[in-house]
Amino acid sequence: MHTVRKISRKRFFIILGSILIFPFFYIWIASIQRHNKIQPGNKKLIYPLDLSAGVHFEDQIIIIKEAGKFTVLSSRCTHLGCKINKFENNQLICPCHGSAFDMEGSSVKGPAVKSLQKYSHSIDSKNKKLIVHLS
Amino acid sequence: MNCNNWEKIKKNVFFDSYGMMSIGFFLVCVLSGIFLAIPYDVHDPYSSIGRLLIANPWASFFRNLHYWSAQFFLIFIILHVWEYLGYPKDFKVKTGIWFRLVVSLLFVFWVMLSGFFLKADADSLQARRILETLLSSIPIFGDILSYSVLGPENDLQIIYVHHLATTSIFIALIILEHAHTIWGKLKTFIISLILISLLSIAFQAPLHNNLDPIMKGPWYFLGLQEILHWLSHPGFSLLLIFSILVLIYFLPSIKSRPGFILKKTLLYSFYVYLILTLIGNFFRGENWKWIWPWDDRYSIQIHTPFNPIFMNLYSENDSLKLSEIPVVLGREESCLICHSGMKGFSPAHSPDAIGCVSCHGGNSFALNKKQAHKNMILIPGDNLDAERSCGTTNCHPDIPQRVKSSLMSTLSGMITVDRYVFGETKSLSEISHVHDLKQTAADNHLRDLCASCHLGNSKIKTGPITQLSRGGGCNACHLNYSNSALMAYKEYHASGRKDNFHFTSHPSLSIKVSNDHCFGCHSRSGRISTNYEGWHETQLDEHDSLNTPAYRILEDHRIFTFVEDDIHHRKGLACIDCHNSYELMGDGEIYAHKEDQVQVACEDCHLLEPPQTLNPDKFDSEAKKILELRPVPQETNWYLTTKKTARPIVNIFINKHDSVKLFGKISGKIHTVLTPADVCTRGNAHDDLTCSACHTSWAPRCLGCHTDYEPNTPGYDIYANKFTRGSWIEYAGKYLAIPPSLGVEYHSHGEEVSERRIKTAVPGMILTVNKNSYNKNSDTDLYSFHRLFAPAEAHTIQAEGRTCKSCHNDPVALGYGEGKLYFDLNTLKWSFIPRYQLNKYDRLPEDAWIGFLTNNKGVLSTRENFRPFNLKEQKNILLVGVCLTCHDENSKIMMESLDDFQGLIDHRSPECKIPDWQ
Repeated sequence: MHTVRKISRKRFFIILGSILIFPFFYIWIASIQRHNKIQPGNKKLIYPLDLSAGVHFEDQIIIIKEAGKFTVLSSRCTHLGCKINKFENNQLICPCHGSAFDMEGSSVKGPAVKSLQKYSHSIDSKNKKLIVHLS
Repeated sequence: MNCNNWEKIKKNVFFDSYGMMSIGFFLVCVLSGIFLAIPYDVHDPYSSIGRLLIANPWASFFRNLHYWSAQFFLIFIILHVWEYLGYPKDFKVKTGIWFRLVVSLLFVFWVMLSGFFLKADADSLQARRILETLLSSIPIFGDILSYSVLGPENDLQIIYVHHLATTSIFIALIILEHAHTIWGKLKTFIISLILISLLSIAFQAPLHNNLDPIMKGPWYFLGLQEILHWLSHPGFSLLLIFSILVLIYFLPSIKSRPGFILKKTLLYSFYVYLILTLIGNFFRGENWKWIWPWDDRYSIQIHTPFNPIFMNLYSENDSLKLSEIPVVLGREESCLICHSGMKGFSPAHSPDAIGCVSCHGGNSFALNKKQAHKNMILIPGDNLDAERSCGTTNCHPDIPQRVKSSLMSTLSGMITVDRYVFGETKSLSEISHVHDLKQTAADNHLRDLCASCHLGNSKIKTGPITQLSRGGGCNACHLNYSNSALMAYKEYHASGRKDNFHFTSHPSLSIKVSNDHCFGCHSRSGRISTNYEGWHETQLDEHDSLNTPAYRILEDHRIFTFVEDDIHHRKGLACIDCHNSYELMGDGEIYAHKEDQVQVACEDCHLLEPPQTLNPDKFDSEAKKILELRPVPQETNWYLTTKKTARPIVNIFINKHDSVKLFGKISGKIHTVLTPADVCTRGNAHDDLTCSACHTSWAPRCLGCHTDYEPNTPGYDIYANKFTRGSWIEYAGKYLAIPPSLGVEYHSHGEEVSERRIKTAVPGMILTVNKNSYNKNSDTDLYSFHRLFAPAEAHTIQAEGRTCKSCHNDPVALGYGEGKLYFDLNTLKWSFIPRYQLNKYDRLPEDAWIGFLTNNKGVLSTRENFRPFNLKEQKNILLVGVCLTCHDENSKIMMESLDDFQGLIDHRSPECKIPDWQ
């Protein structure tokens, strides 16, 4: 014989509310993912090819031109994401916690341990442009 | 102090409970926020705050009110929580409410932090990136959470919504649920409002000028920033924060002893955090490097949080066009409202391009003169502040460090040799730095006589670089006053330096470094600046009759007489035509002596071999920049490089006719660079000679100098710029302008000499020092005598080299000093009669380096790899000298001797005599 287990109305709504968290959690995540997907987003950055030799700190990236060759690194420090904005003693220095990276983006002084992200780039010789591919 | 007194003080200071006071501050914060939202523009946040700081003191007041009430709200919330944890159990709130209250702590910090982000300055942008990274490190939904909280990187809309609505509403609801009121007490609100208003009048809420390289988070997270500095995997810090919240949540329900221990742990952790916060605030400078208060850079790197900037309600500048505040580099630049129309800048340094604050610091968000000029650098570019002016990230970031480690900043060689002579170091190759001068006999000797000539010596007076200028960092070379700038400068001083003097002409900073900039320091010691122009110092004074062009009076009243100027000077070449930026500003390496830092050599341009060249496409950034600023006026793709470092020489090139040309950096003239004469390369007899060994026409030297310490003579410490009691006094003997001696620079591997170069040498440190004159406790004199010659390029080059006899038959060239050197054909012996008397300490003539035909013993040079000729070398030279006593140096046989000297000696005629060395 089955016995009917009674629960209070308040408890019922607590359980119901708890269950509802999951679909809303899913919708929250899905809405942001879809939002990001439909953003126009500029995945390419374009710079003049005749940038002077040396280190150029841009908003998202660092462009290093040495002996006519380009290296494009992310400006986000791999420790906590601060924008690296200093070049000293041939090292790229993060102002927030003092991490240092060499010209190839490898970590040479902590706290950061990972190398800076390297972006691929192409050269449009016809229009004399450097195209950095962020994706 | 007894408990009653403490309670009375507490009652007066804390006029209500912590909780009710935090409500009071919250209300002030919310209300001021509503008024602040009017001038604040979320689409142009930084500029909108800049504008209100400059021109809207009333809105600025609301901003200060908002800021300070928020800080006090946070402080009193923390006090309130701590107070609550100590309450007896009967006062505890329900578990559910306590849970929401603990969660609300996150919202309290988020409302504070979002406010910090909304000012959108350099600090905020970095802090925002940090939070984004931390949130993204949460597994599974970290990225989603980060985006939901912060939104896209360059947009503040979501943060603004969270700041205004999400957090504020949540906190208001929590207050209402917990305190059963949102209004608190009227008295508490009014007192909070008055206190915060007073604070807001005196202290401005911070806004980074986006130039200062110091990046710091909000003060309450500086402890966390310190912790994060030590964590390679900073995501763990979130676990730490979560653990603290869990601990706070469970703490009221943990009984007796464990609860007590946990509470104590929390308290001590709080104290530790407080210490870390103080460290972050007061001991962390640029790049989060530790900095002590006694460091020279402390005052410019660390700003105390309570730096009063009083509200200026009645601006005297109401008449100015406040609606047209100039914007430079995205920053509102209030300086240009008053200092408009200033001219005279080089294009790169024009205020339109970089504003005023980039170089001069100060406060670009103020119109009031006192406020705007606070912490201003009147003369930017000193080594002390170069990183904050010339060397900021977007300007010349790598140069200040190079300059500071260069010899013109360290004075390494001068200090090391001085210390060696005084017996305070054993190595002549030691690296020294003028900043490490102490209060020893040797160092005080430098402080009294030499230590003002270093680039770190601050320029403390405005005005052009003169012969009396010393140091000045970047200004030492790059500061140039045009005629109009000089006129304005003189008018300003003639006006009694009036406060309202309106400058319209500014000195320029450029790469046009004329010889005048070098002259002040380099007319001393080796005197290469005066030598180069042909002037030799005399012991005359201004009272002597000097009205002839043969004499020149310097600004320091020394009298010079004309001897012969350097051929390069006659042709119009400036110092910087040869000496490149990596020599003058250093290349980042630390060198002991000047010849180590010098990169250019005569042979780099006067080619003995096929040229080493470089296309401008392959130039380093600095060379390319210089070439852009000062392009050569002829078509070329090939520039010569230095052999020592392979760096381009940006003004020496090969033209389309394959001819080597020099472009005068100052004169603008094109010169043809000649190749060395045949005689320079004929045979191998003189392979070891440097060009200057033959082509230096004269070098200054002095005789019989000595220094004594006079304890009662008032002195002046030229390093520290202060008067002293007691001073080293230098007594000069006699000044000579004669061809230099020659010495041998050698590089060896083990015992084998791998390279030998004959260089010019002059007296470097011939000094008698009475050491005990410095030691006040000693009654007896203790004289120490050193006879050290130094390798030196006198910069008196002539197109024609010195004659053969001037070396092979010359006692000065050989190092014996002036006198009669002759070969007796009867005895077949060389003899030497010195001109000057013998020194009582080493029994050598006063002007000698070595004794006649003696082997060298002991240290005789200021370098470990430089020496006088040894006995064998002296004999070899004098053997040729014997030939020259009969044969003309241009005779066929002497020319042939360049090809095979030994062959000629072996087959000499019976009349030919050679010395009998026995």
